[in-house]
Amino acid sequence: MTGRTPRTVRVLTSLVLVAGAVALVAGEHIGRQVESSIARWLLHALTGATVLPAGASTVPAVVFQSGDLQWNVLEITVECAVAYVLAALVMLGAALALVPRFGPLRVVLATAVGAALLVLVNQVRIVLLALVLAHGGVGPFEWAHSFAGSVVSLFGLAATLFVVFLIVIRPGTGRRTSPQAGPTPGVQA
Amino acid sequence: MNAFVAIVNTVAVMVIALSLVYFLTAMIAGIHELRRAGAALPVQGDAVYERPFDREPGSFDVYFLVPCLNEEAVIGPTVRALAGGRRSTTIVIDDGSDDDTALIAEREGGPATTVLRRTLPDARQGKGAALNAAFGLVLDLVAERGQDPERVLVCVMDADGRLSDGALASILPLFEDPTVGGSQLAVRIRNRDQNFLTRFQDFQFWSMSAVTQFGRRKTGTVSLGGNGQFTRLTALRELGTEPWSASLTEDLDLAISLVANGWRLETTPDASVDQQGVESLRRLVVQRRRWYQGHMTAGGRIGEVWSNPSIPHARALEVSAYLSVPWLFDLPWSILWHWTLASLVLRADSQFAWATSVPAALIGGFLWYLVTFAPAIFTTIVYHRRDRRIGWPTAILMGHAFVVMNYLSFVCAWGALIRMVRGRTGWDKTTRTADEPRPAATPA
Repeated sequence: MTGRTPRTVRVLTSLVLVAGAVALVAGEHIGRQVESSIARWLLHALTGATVLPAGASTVPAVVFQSGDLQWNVLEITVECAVAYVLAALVMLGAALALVPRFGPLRVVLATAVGAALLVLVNQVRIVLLALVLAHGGVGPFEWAHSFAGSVVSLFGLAATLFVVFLIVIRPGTGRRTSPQAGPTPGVQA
Repeated sequence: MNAFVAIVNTVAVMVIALSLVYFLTAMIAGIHELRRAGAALPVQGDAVYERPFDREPGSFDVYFLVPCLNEEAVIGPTVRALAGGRRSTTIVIDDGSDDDTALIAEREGGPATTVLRRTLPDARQGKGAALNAAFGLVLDLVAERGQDPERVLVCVMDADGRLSDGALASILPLFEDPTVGGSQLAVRIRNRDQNFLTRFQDFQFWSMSAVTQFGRRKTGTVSLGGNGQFTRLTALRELGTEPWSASLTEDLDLAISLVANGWRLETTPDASVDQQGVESLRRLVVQRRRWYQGHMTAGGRIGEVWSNPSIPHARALEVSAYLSVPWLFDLPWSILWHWTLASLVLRADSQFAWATSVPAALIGGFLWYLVTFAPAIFTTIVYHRRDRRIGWPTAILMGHAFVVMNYLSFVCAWGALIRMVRGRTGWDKTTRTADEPRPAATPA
């Protein structure tokens, strides 16, 4: 068991992550504003669409002009935002950080990668919704929003969790005393 | 209020996503392991359970332990089938039966069968205690016969358990790997045609459980199930003179002990064991509640696995995930399922906003079904492929029965929790009935 991270470091790492999760929930409105800003930038960069700055809307939203010169407002609600799911992921990271066999750095890395993936998935979802609204109108948007969007979110989250666990359990992070360690057949009690 | 709803929804989504990751990973790993072993989903689908010693390599001495409490209805054929091995001994543990279990076992088992009679107050202390009593006898017999303990296996069988033809030929080679401490065979329900409940048990065991167990070969954490369960004698000896615990799921407890000691637990696609399914709902609830209680209690042993630095992370994580299933999935989901259902109904206008016309409703409804019921569709296909004799209607019915059968899990998980809180750890043994005459085996 040599080389294990001291308990204090693990507990501190976990506490920092818990604090991060609480901050994400408490400041979810700020999170939504950040998300809408990224989405605005992405939409403009990818499609060249005209987007209005954050101040154009009283709520966190992506305000953009579609091809027919119509203005569209895509509001980022609490349930559309990634903050709460992100907080849940960070709480998972906090729990994993307490486990002696996992290095805290590896757990923090896995949580950070997971968080980045979640934000990315939600950005892809928002931008796709904006494109569907711009090019297809309200009908197709309802499809994309209530059905496809949920599927993307759920499978995106599942894939993210898979990646997080994969990073955490990857060989090389363990504190194994010997690669040959294992059962000792024939040893009597 | 909005924040509360969002938080509960987030918890629901997390539970669904975590279970999706575990379920899909295990199922896909299982199918991959089957292919790696040169097998396919239909393997053993039409197995016959009569001659387990066909092509037996005779490379190990095998002691079959059959704990019995009033098993006169089924014990005869079981010991008869186990009597044909070149290097096997059957020990029937009569745990204080009121019926003719011991008499029938002696009569049908022949010279290779020993009946270990336990009487009250020692008897009827649970399956673990009965197995521990027989373990002492095994050690004595091994010493008396001058057998090499390294080449001795102990197999636990239920009184109604039957090994598939040629089972030993597939199992014994697994133990040539010195890191393998135990092996569990896939379970088939013999009376699956009896009623809906027995069919559903067969679906659970043969479709989901068997395939995920194959997947667990990757981490060496195949769960032991107490029937068709082989363990290396030397691995058991490491656990002392009483390797089986008093837990309600002594088999799961043994699996944790072996994994914690660094042993790999294996299975094979080329052999299986069949047993009776429970035919009445009341008895099924009692049985499953006992399993849940044992499983939930075993959760407290996660630390033992995690504290052994020689166990790979993947193995420790898989065992932890498995032990956490009732706590992380079943109990929370029993509440969140109704929350999700209520949300779906109360917010139907926005949830089904895409249903703006009949064609849109039809196409959208179909796509919604495909996504929402994806695991059910997956297991339907797997069950149909696992045994080609199972028609699509039956497979579809079983695959979708979870909508109703989830409630069995909910009732049993909560029942187990209540018993745990009240400190009740009594053993409710599953009652078995005489088998119907077996029809001739039909090819797939």
